[in-house]
Amino acid sequence: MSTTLNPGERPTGYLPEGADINRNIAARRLRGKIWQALFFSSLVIGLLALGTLLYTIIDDSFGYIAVQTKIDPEELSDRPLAELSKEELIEILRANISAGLFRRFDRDEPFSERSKESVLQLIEERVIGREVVASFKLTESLLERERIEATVRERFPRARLEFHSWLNRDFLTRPMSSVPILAGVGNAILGSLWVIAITMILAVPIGILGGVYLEEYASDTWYYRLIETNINNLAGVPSIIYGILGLAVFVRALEPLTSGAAFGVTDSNGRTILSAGLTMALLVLPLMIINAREAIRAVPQSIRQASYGLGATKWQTVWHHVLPNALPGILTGTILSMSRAMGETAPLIVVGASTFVVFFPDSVFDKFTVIPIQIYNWTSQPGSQFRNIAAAAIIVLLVTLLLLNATAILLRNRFKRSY
Amino acid sequence: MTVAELSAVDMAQANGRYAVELHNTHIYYGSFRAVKDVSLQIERQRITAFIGPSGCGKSTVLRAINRMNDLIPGSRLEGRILFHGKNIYDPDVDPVEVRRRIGMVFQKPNPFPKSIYDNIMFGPRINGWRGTKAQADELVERALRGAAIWDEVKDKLHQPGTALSGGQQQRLCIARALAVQPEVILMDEPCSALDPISTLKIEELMLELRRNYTIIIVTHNMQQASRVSDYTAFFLMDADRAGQLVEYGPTEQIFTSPNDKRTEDYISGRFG
Amino acid sequence: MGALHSMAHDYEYLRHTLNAMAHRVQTALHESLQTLRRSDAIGAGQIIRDDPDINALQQDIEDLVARFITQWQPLLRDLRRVLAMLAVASELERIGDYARQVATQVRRAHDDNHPLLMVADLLELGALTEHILSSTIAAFLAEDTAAARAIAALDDQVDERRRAITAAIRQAARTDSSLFDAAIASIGITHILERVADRATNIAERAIYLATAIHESLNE
Repeated sequence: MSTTLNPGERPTGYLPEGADINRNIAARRLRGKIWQALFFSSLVIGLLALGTLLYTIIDDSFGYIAVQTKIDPEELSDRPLAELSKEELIEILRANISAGLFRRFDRDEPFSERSKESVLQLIEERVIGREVVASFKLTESLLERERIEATVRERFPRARLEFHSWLNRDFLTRPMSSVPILAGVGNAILGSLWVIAITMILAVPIGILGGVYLEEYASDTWYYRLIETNINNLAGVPSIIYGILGLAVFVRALEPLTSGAAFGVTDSNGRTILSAGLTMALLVLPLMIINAREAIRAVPQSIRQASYGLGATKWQTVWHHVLPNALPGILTGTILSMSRAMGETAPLIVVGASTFVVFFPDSVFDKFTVIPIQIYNWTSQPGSQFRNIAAAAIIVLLVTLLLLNATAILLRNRFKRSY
Repeated sequence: MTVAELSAVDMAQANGRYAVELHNTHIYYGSFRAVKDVSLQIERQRITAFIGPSGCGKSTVLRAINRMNDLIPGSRLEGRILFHGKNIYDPDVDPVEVRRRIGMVFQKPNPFPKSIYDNIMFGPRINGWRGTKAQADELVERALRGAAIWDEVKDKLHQPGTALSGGQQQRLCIARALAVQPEVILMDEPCSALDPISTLKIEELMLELRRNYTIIIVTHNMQQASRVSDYTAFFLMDADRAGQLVEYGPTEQIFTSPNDKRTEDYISGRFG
Repeated sequence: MGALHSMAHDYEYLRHTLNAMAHRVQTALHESLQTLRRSDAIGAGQIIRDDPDINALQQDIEDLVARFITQWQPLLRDLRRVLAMLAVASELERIGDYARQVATQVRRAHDDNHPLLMVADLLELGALTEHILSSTIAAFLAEDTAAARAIAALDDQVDERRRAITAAIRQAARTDSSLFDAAIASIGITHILERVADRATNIAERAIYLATAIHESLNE
């Protein structure tokens, strides 16, 4: 080192002076502008992708359909069918289908015990036989109405053209059906809710408590560091692996428990809502723990010190200060984990979600389907109308996820505290 | 050591001259010796200032007195710290009890994100407070008055403590410490985040509190130490970077004619 | 204010100003003794007119000390040093006054036409006082406690001389009553010179306090 450096002297290197300064600044600003443009274009690409996605989905979810019926409902009765009594409906049904078929329906479930709606449904399916023979996308429906009408007149002279929203109330409440226009996501929504409920009942408390232990109690020893590393890595494991784990452990090894056999349920195997929920809980648990730890770590040390300084025990400090202050963060993370579980498909396919379930689940030992599975199933079916209901189901899933995220934001703002 | 036991010792020694005594105290963080062989006796109902350059171990010693250092993993203490003649580092002593009897005020005001009322009542509640609502109200008022902030907050007891100004927050923290009826109050640079007027208010408050409490304050402000304290301890780190006590005596003496050249150099700003 | 210098720099400036003032005061004392030697009324008038300059320097030092304390908040020796400078400036200002009083006596003696008595002895006493003043200032600026303590012995010499001169003047006045006015004036000058020595001793005490933080009295 030179010992003769004089702080007052000018350094011997070069710093721009005079006109150089302006050139230098202009060059720096230009570099900034280029990067800014790059950032902006990334944003634009993202927005375009999102826009395309939404456009495709919405394009498929609404539009004209060509409907034809075997018989015009007005020929069956002079009043609207919905206003008729159950007995009148049974008579119409008896008159229009073969006696053998009628007896078979009665055997399946005696007409005396069937509801009016169920009879009405039978009439619609078997007598009226509404059938969608063609469906059109939203854009063509709006822009090329004449062409559509011409096509329909030419190919399906008996068909009527009507504007149809594939996403409607019936779609949300009806179960799966092999006829696209009669199919719905009702039981898939319910299935998703069941699975999420079980996932959250298990993952939330275990995640939070595990996070508290690691953050507040665990000392800095090699085995806790090993556990931490493992948890962090588990969060990055592909979800299909969890599916395989679920299949091996919950579906196969623990079948007596997960099928409900141990609780007296006889008509099921291990591929139940319970198995799915347990698998999903495993999947989100690392996320929950990591998230809870982050939230707990964000609670300022000064608050803990203040609490200890007044003679609080560790538990009192955690309960009165750490947890309440970490709550908004934990809640946000919980809801984000919930959205993750909601949209997860792969592990459930492995665990064995059924793709064709027509009844609504009413216990954790039932077979089940969930919205993403339905979407996956429908998109792989031949027939353009399955595309339409898949799109409608995607909208349902997206809206549900958006609602969950919005709740997360609301909760976070509601509970946010200032230090 | 239970409250009852400690109170019994308390009675027996109520007339003792010293509130806290450190005997040959060494403090370690892991294998690093942060404080070396400190012995000093803190006089009751007096203000004792710890001064010294950054890293000289004065805060470490302060935090050892109510076992706040226990919260730092790997910290360890050798020697004895006597409180009412009882070594607070004896295995049968619960640090939680020590911290109730020896309160602490921190560098940055740290009120809980709760109402002023709940800030004050937190300490009593977690320490097993039993009393009526009226008694609680009285306790809150007494603590706030004790910290000379009652008049400023009496109309907003249920508003968050974090909404107060910095100086008020610090006095709220002092009130919070008073609410658990400690005997000794440790203050770790309580004014370093405050403006001069708030600082002056805290200093006046300290002189007021001195009538009933023993106060130990760590400060970097020489003028503050000379203004408020009765005794001053000067710490400095030695060649191994371990803090040690260089000089301890009446503030008057330390700030007029210190015995040690290092004390003189530090106080008059020659280093540190 | 403002424009941060080092504490040492500001102190050095203060010390320089004090030194300048001390120099002015020493010169005034020396000149006043010269007018005594020459019985020079005009020179004496000049010294009287110049005295306000010394007062102004004292005020400068007060301002500098106030600024120094504000900016540096000195403690211990630093504080004692500037406080001592304040006190020394005040002592020097008084000594300046005494030089003016000597000059006043010289001029009045000239105007009233009564030549002062025992001028040679007075000058000798004056030289001793000057010596005390210059060594005390040197001791103060050097913060030399040994030199400062040595001043006490010189101060005793001054008292001794003064008593001897006063006795001789009294003797002369008793034998010749026409010398009465001259005797009063000459005794007045011995008084003044003795005070100068006292003030100088005070400065020496300040030097000792500065270095040791102990108030030591040299005037026993």
